[in-house]
Amino acid sequence: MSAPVLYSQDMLFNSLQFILFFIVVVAVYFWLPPRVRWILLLLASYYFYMSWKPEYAVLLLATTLIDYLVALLLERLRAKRFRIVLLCISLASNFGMLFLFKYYTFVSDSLRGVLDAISMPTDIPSMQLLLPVGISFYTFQTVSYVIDVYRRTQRAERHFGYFALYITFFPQLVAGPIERASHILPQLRRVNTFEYRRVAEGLKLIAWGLFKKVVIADRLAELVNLVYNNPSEHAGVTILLATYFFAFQIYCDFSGYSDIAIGTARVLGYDLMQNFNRPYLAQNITDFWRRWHISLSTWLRDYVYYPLGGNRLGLSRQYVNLLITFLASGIWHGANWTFVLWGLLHGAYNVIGRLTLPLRDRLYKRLAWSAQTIRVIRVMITFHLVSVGWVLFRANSLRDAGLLFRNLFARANWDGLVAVASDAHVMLSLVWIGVLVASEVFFSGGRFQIAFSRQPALIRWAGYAIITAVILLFGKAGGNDFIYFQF
Amino acid sequence: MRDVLKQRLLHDIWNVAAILAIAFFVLSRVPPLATALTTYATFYGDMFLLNKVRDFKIAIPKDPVALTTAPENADVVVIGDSFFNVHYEQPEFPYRLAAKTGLAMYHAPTDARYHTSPSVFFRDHPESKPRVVIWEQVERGVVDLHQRFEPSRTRDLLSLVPRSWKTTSVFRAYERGADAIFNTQPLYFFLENSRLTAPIYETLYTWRFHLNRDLSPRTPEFSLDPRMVFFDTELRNARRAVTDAELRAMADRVEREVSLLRDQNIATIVVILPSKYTVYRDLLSDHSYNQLLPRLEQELSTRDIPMINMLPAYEDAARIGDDFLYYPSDTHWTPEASDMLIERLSNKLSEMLPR
Repeated sequence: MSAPVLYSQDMLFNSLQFILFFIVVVAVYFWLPPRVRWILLLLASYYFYMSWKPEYAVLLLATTLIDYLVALLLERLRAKRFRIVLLCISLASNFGMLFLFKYYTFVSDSLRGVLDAISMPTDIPSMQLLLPVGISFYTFQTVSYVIDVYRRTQRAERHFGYFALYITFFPQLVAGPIERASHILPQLRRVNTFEYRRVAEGLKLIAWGLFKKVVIADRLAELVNLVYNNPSEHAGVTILLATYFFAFQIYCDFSGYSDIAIGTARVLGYDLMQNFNRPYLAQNITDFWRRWHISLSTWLRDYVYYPLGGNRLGLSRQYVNLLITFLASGIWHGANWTFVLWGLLHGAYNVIGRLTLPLRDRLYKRLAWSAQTIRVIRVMITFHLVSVGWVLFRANSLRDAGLLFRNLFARANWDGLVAVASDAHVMLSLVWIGVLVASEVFFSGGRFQIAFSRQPALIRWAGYAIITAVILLFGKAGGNDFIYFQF
Repeated sequence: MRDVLKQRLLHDIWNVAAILAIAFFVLSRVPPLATALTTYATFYGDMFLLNKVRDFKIAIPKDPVALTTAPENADVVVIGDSFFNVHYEQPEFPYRLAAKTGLAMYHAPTDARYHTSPSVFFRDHPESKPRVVIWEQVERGVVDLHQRFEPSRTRDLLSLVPRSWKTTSVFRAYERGADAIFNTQPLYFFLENSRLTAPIYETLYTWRFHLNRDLSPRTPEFSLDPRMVFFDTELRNARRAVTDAELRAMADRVEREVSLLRDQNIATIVVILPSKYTVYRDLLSDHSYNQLLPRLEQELSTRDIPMINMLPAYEDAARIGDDFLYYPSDTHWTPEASDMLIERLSNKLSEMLPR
């Protein structure tokens, strides 16, 4: 038995340790003269990262140093040949490190399996290194910077401190949003003051993020883990319910993290990019990817899809480019065949979506339903397509995923549903999902915040007290890790 | 004017909170001050927070005595989970066992990788060459643990550091420094137990308990005696049918570990401690039991792996004696129960390692 935000050894956003750290950093930040604040933020960011495993800061520092120097040289050099060599050095060091820590074991195991299968056993050395937290996020962030400098769309940052802070800024270091240098670097030079409105906004976002994480996501995780860790013991509607729960769990977990990250930065006076925009209200898969993990989607668009030719080289090439881009997205998420398939599935959704667009438009026209009805149907279909993908995403292995799909349709298992539904916590989870859905459906674009801020002080403070009480009293115990930390 | 006041008030509150946070951190790191301000009521135990609930609170003092023998000097390495770590009212279990037997003993850090696969400990500590390993596990969840928890073989960056470097003063200074800066256990302990903050935790836990009774992901179930609380995990595991195939799979893993250690000339004593539920299940109306321990003992004996099973002795003691063998509001054993195992182990060790 442990409580949310009250006990965790790691510096998680939902730990008391982080809350105390954050309070101290903000206070000291505004005590210090503006010209030295970057030093505090840099030290705090390294402390934040090192509280996980201190020695892994060496990798972060190495990445920072290499890309800092490469960018400076890229800006100075004119000869294209040298510039390409420099770019390759940076990409090789960044992706090399990512490969070594994240993909080497997966690739070597797969290769070993293939060679064994064709009776060519080979002794491929095993590394199995512990994955540095946030490596996929900071690698993509620093790669985008170097490529932008190479393309001359971004000036190389001369101040090493500011550059290091851009890479390590603690609110977004371990799980994004994956920021662009052009958005963050100018902000780091800005002089911020302790401003009531901005601090209050940031705190509200943090509270909302914590609510999503500890009250919704971590609660839903109980049933999801029960089913997905024992796929052979569950069937029918229980798997269906667990899959719906996972859809909301991963959304609340990751968007909750993003809200806390954005809120934390806002209190300090910085603006991070929006990472989610009510993704389950998307009307098709393309729309979904415009709303889900926006910083990764736009990164893949700018640095994979467009360089491959995007939609400029004909339809068939566009479809290949889409598949490659989504494959890259799947691989980015993890070194497992489940993620590879998940990426390909979304690529296929996109391609099929584009191919069938005229057909679907004709169908909806012929049905002559109201625009509202069609929108609801489209949202429901998209949600279910995404949920099919989540089965692959959450399953521990391809075998488990196969078992889950098979058991899902094998029998209805209403008894299992009754047993699950009689659990008070499951019912409570449904209430919280209802609260979330209502907030997203009825209050778009910050309308809720605006409406709420117009209420009398008594009502507003009662609201704050209620959300704090709900987090403390109903939040799931234990300070669970955020799902996206593993990527 | 009102906005300026609001801003100043918020800033002042923030600064006070920061000063308090720094003060707590510093206090938790200054032992005399921390001791003076701390109640030391409860900290360890799976259900230690339940002890914060007013209805169930029992005082479990903490004793800081621990073993210091280095792994390379030990005759016996003790690998176990929390039962060997909780040291309510007395020094921790291996310390008392060492005192009783006079053997040089090393207590391996509690790490799920080690107590599911002791061979991993020796991979991480190749300098350790004991003659005997005492491998302790607890009945609850042990089958699942062996089925599903293939210990991670991942290595962190420090494991790549050459062994000779790890003994240098620079490396040791790094480890000490990192621990001083990043280990938050003292801070959490202080916040949980200090006279200033413990009442806040106590109130919060009590409210949570009365509201949703799920302070734990392992919701406790009450016995006929409302002061004896059982772990939901224990109940579910003890009541679910364990198939022969599952039992054999677990025995396979145990056998593999024992054999890996035997290859290094290390003898293994396998101890699987009964769950509280197994010993006190008669207190519940439904006291069904899957007979895991007797079945496992038999399965391992057919493979020539003697297992120490304390269940019969504990059942007898629970029937006859007045003392609790397990804490009423925690899952762990009391000194009465651990003393019985110490007696059994010291006899066994004197047979294996005659002086």
